[in-house]
Amino acid sequence: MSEPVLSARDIIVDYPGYPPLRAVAGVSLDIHAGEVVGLVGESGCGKSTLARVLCGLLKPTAGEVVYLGRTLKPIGVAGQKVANTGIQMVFQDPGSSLNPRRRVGPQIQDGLDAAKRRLGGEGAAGAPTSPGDWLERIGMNADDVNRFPGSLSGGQRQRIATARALAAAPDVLIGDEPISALDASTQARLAYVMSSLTLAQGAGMLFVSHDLAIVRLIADRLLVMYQGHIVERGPAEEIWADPRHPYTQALLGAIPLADGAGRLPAVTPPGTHYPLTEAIR
Amino acid sequence: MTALLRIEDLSLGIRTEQGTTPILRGVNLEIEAGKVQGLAGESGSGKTMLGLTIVGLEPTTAITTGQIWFGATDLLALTGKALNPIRGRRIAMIFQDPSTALHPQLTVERQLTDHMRYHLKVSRIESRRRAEELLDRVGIAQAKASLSRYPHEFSGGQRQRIAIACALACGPELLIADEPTTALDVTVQAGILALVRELVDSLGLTVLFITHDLGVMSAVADRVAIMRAGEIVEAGPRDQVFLRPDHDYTKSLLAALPGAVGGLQTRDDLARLGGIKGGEPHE
Repeated sequence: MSEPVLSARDIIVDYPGYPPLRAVAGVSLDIHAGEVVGLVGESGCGKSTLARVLCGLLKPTAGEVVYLGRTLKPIGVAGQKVANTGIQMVFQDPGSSLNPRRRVGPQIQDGLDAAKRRLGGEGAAGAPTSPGDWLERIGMNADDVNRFPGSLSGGQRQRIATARALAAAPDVLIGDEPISALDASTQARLAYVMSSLTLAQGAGMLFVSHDLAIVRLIADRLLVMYQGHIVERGPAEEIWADPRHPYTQALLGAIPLADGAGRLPAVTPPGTHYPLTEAIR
Repeated sequence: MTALLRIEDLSLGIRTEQGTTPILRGVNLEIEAGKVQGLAGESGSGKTMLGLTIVGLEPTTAITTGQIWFGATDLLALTGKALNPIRGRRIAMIFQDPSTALHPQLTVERQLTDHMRYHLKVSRIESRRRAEELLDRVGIAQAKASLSRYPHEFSGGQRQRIAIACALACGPELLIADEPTTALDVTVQAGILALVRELVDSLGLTVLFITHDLGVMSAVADRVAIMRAGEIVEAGPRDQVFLRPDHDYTKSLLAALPGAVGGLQTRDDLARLGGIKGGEPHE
């Protein structure tokens, strides 16, 4: 396989406290161009913290992030370095990640400008070159460039956040629960739009989510996280069909399926602890 | 079928400066005794407002028409104190966020016994004994010691269990559960769903279970109603709605779900669905 675009090496993150809370406890992972990696786990498992480290928003306590062969320096007060705009992120709440007082067009233009600064010339080849074209690519109308985020629905705002991120022609797109705040019928569509457009640009993607049922449909590989550790990793369909780690098994068993069978999901006794060692596949 | 609650032609609008915004448009629904009636819909469909209106918690700017029959009583005709013998006693409610449903400065015992002493006129000792029983019933370990603890000392799932115990304290006939598992992890959610089902089967409790998650609905509900833009577009037994949906809207909801019959099974299904432009139902 080719060199990864983005790798994490033995990332440890401690949050201060008495005692400190170890949110991420020694995680290594690679993201390659042209693949979608799903990072799944429940609240408090450290998946969002890990995502913030990977895009340089948070300095790890130990370990390093390697982006295109060099160590990624966390973002400072001066803002993101031009070279690092190849890592883009889409957050859970599009209401707070878009500027409510700016029209949609200029916000997407920011992404296009970032691509031009980093790559020179007209930015990425083959990608839309104007905010209006980007809106059409993402399934909206070109006229929407003049609207404010507040006049759009949650799904539409998340499409705009995706367009802004992809306009920067990223090498890797990190989505931190990008579909969690949306209605179910919108979730699957947006997950597909995000992943297919990212792949069309030849970029890699890390899709962080607690919703395994949707993630396994878009992800090539899955990473299952539990208490700061990755406890299982492998091809998405294989893990879905045959989970090896007891935690993955519990997680999959607890998903209620809309099959009309009236079957209650499996209950694990409260306080169950699972091994933190990674399952061998 | 004996209906415990019968909603007839319920409409609700919110008064604003620009006129009245319709939220519910002619809702008809019968909730069968001893069953879980599911009410599903996307955000803004009016499902929460329907639940609130039953217990008279709709906003003061709301204008309602229609009837909500609870036995021979029209709940819509009751206001203020006239609702007190019913609300909290015969009809109880639990909400999405158990940390705001519980008072952070009161012990679990106080929250479990206050309304019990008001409604049932039982002594402090008797209410304390019942509270301990209730905590045990909903699966809180060390029920006796937990009585003197505060909500923040419990996890989200445990808090929802305590909220359920509070709701059950006066022995209600109907429990309205508004997205009770939405804020919880799936493994915790599984426990709450099993508890709700077990309470229905053992106590003969009737539940109106409001959720946006059709997977949850399929697991816990006996009958299902699908709501869109203030109207119930489809209602029926669970297997009928999930396996032989009648309405195009229900079909489109199921088609966008992984795990539903006729839903998303493979990446190709997703690609076909993603090819459909837009998808937000309210625009």
